[in-house]
Amino acid sequence: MLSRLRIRQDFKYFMRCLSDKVPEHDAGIPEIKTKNAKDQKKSSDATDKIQSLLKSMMAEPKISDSEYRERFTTAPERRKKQKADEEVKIEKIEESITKAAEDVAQALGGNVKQTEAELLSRVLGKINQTSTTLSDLIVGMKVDRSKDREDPAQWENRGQQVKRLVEKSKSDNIRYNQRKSTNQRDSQQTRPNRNLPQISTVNIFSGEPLGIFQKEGPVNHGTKLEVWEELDKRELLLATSQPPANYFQKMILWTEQGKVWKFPINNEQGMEEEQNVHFSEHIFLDSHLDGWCPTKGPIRHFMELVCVGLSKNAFYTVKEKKDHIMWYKEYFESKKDILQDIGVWDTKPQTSEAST
Amino acid sequence: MNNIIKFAQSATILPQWSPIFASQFHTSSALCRVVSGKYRITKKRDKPLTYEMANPPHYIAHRKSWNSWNTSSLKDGLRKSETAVEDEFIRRFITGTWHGLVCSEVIIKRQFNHIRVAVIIRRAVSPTKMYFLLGYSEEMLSNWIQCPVTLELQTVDSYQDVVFKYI
Amino acid sequence: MYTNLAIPRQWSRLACFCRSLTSVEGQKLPQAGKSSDGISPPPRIPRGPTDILQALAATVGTDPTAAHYKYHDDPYLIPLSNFRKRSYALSAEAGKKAAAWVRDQHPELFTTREWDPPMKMKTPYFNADPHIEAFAPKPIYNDETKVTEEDLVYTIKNALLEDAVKVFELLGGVDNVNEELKLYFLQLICFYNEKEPVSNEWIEERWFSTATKERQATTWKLGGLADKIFTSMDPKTPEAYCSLIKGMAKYYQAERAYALSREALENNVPLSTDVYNSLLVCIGFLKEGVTLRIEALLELLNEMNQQGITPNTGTLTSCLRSLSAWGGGKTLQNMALQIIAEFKNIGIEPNLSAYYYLLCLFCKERGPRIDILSGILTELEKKDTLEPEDVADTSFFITAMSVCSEHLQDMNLAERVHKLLMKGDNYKLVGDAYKESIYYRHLVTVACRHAPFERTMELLDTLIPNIYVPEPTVMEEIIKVLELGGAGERLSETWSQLVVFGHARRLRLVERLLDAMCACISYQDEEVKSKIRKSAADMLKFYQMVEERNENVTTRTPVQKLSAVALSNIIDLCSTGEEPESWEAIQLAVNELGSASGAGRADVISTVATTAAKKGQHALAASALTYLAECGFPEAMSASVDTLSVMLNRSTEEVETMLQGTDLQGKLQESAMAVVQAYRMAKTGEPLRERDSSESSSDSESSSDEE
Repeated sequence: MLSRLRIRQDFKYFMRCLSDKVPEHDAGIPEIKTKNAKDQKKSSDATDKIQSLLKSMMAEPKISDSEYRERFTTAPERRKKQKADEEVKIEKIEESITKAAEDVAQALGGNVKQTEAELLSRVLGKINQTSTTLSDLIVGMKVDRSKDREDPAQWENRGQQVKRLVEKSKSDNIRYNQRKSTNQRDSQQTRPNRNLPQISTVNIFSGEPLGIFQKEGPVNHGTKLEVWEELDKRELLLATSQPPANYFQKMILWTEQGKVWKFPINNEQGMEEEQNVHFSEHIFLDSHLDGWCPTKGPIRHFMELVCVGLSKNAFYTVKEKKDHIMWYKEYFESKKDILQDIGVWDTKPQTSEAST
Repeated sequence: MNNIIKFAQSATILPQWSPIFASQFHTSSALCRVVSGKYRITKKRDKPLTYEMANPPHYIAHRKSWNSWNTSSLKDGLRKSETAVEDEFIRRFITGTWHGLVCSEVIIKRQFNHIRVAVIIRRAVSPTKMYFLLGYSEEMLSNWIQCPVTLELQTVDSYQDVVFKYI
Repeated sequence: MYTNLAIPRQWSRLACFCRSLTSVEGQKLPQAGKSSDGISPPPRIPRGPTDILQALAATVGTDPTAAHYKYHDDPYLIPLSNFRKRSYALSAEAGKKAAAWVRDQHPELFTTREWDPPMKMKTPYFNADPHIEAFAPKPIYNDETKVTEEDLVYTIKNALLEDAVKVFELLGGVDNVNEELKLYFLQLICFYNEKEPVSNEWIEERWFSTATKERQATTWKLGGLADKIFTSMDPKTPEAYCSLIKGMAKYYQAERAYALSREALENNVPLSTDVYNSLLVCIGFLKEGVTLRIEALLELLNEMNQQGITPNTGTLTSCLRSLSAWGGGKTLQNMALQIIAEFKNIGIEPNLSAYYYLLCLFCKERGPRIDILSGILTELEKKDTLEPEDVADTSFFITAMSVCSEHLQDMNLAERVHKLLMKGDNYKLVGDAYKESIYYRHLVTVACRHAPFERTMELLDTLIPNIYVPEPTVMEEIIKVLELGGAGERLSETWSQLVVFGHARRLRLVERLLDAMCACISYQDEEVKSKIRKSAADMLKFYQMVEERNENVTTRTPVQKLSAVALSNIIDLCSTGEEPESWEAIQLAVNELGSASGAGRADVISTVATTAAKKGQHALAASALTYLAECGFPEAMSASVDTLSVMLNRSTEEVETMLQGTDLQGKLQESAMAVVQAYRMAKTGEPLRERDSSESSSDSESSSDEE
């Protein structure tokens, strides 16, 4: 319990040093603390506490930089001066940081030396250099190392080569370890990286109108091109159409292509033009006999039977039925002479009365 | 009992004076041997049967199902003969197009004017070829029958996988 | 004698009555409103044939565990890699095309009904009642075809450009076609610039066609059919002017289009909004330099106003498209904002493609980081549906996602974009397969780099492999994340994923994966460890198989062999376990080491030598040490001493003194002798290159195996 408290205090101090020093680059903070957190990850239950502590520290500063600047007008020259001050301070502070790091490392257990070294390198590196991302730091380390080694290595035999490779792979290993330790940070960090240049937000409607067009006025889009518009629509449809993603979408596609019967199933589909025709026109066909057919006699009888037959035919359209009747009309008229001879072609109504 | 015998005896006399009765009465014993849809047992007992073949027709709707699903065979159904011929056409087309690949009966299901053809296929050709055949047979069939046709395939490794028993 | 009844004569009257009756009761829709009994049936809503289907389709969500619907739901036929997805879908469509070709070439085979006997064949006879147009053979036009103007109308309507040109020629060309049809034909030709468009029947082909971004080059056919038709027209109608200008502008024949528009203005030909829109796009080809271009743009807008032509959304989009094509910089950006404000003033909101051009203008690769996207998203989220208005609309989401991942590097924004795309019917705006995969590439990358581990894993689980198959670069990101997250189990599964996705031959990825596994294995559960071991051993096997195949078949790009580092990684992974399989793998890997490129990891190899010696696999230990010594690793000496001490069961000091002695030959086993040789080799520091030494060591190892 005591040790836990201790860690906390140390951490607080540790962090304060950092945050005091470089308030602008707080990206370093999560790294450090995650580093610590990571090291003791598995066993120590202090982790949770530290993490919560760290989290609270990681939280957005209450005042954003811009706001801060607005409120407490800080001139650039003055800040430079401050930096100079800081450098002087660093010397003093360094000692206390070293002490704190040592304490932390001991409290965490495990490889004390390594932890301490890592902590310190991070902290001091942080103060001394402005680049703050972890990846930058790591990349830097790697470069340094290879340089050191390469300088004397002008003459290389295979053994040397191997050595160099080995060193490289070692440093790679270190990189992994560091990477590993950063995963915590990654999982906690959901805000954008701060290392990149500040993002400036632009409001899309912030511009000043040009004042060319008037708000009111008749709408006039000029000459219309029908085919062009059709083709435009077609292209747009093609650009946004996708293969059907389920059965229903496939059915929709088929319905649009006319391949499948329309829903709800209607057994009069395809007879749309018949919809406008009243059923009586299908059934009462006698009116088409008026005017040419004898009012009585065998031809009349025959034609009425034709009409009855047609009225029961479900497959002809009204026009076809009419045409059918008209065919008979023409047929009988072409035989008019014979029919008149035998006395069955008599269109006058008086004669019908006379015959009865 | 006596009555029945008497009636039977009298029935033998009936044809003499009534040709109508004669045509309506079976007087010989019925041959209760249904052969269609059943498979003969081989000597070596090595004839493979699928589940569908292993169940004789009287098990339809009990142990197995129909090979053609449509409403024409219901009472007052339309286009009975046409449907039957069309189905046969589809079956032949499928077994011919998927030559040597079809491992089961071709099941044909009709809904409105949509025909679904289900079949079990052997994995003897590459999936790419299968997709080609699939698109080809769907489009060919729908052009012939003038309605959308969908193939529903299942694949098995070999004929052995569909064998239900040997007789 | 025959019918003399009076009733029939009244039939027409009866019919009249019937007609009036039915119209009263049958055809009227129930009216809304309260009836006397308080029951008020709602008015009938007329439904289209697809309404119910659409409602049903909306209830079906996407199932990330299943392949896309277009693939057959069968284990054998489900594609798992990008290549397979593409080839399966296209094969199915190729089959359909083949069938359509047969149908069009031999329409006579499709006119019979299957159930009719051959003699009863009637032509044309259709099985379907009602007749279905979609299944009818398509007309083929060639020199012998007798064509009418109806054919021309049909081809224009269906955008069959080549057929239309053929029919137009058959009809007698420029002189014999009437003016109206000529105008329609001109529009068609101008729209497509005499190039046949993709048929709308083949969805997959379009979906998978990797439409590279349209090159902004003058492709307009000068002196082509369109020009000929235009010159033949007399008097030239405004429509003719408009379509020719638009056609030229669309295919970047800017100067001509502009000149023609001046000519039209001089002749008092009324132009249209669309013409001005297309001219706006062309400004960049007419003027050089940002200031001049902006001047020209404003001039055109002013001219529009003078001509009394109302701008529309297209005008805004065209302006922004021009601006975005002229590069970046403050001036253009401010201009764009001004134009947007101007159009907002007259009540025109930017559409998706306008936003797309805005993103292009503001978010330059190396430019300052500007967050314009969040404002755009807020605007778009207000809308219920996003209706596509322009073909460029399909570029919005992919660009927005790439801005999220590369420019802003913000996971929250990326999630907002993704949510917007998944909303309602918006997914159709994703474009085609190519754009879709880029979109997901960006989404996965941004998630890997900037999202919490759990969230990333969730996303990966939903997307991969059915919706998206990661490309090698994305796969590398994923491996990185898995390594950072210490997800050993997932890493072990990654190998099988690599195989399934067809990336297994990419050595870089495999080595990256091995590195990641090595970095994580130390703190995994025993179960996971064994899984990792298994997949490491499998990698080794896979590469040996590939190598064998390489020897048999000479391919153009032979697969590289695993490097020594990768091999030592495998050794490292496998040596954490006890199973005989992993030791077999180690044996294999050690044998491979000699021929592999680069140098292995000495620490791993020396450890494995000691462990092998402890396990009694002396030959393995010897060959590992020989490799170390041959490469001249300094570790070789100490490792040899350790191994020998284990082998001979003596303390290290004893072994060292023993090694000082010269005559050891015959006193030791062969494998121990090999170790001694390795020690000496390492000590002298001279790598022995002679083959016989390595051969002898391999001999000894095989013989000791038999013991």
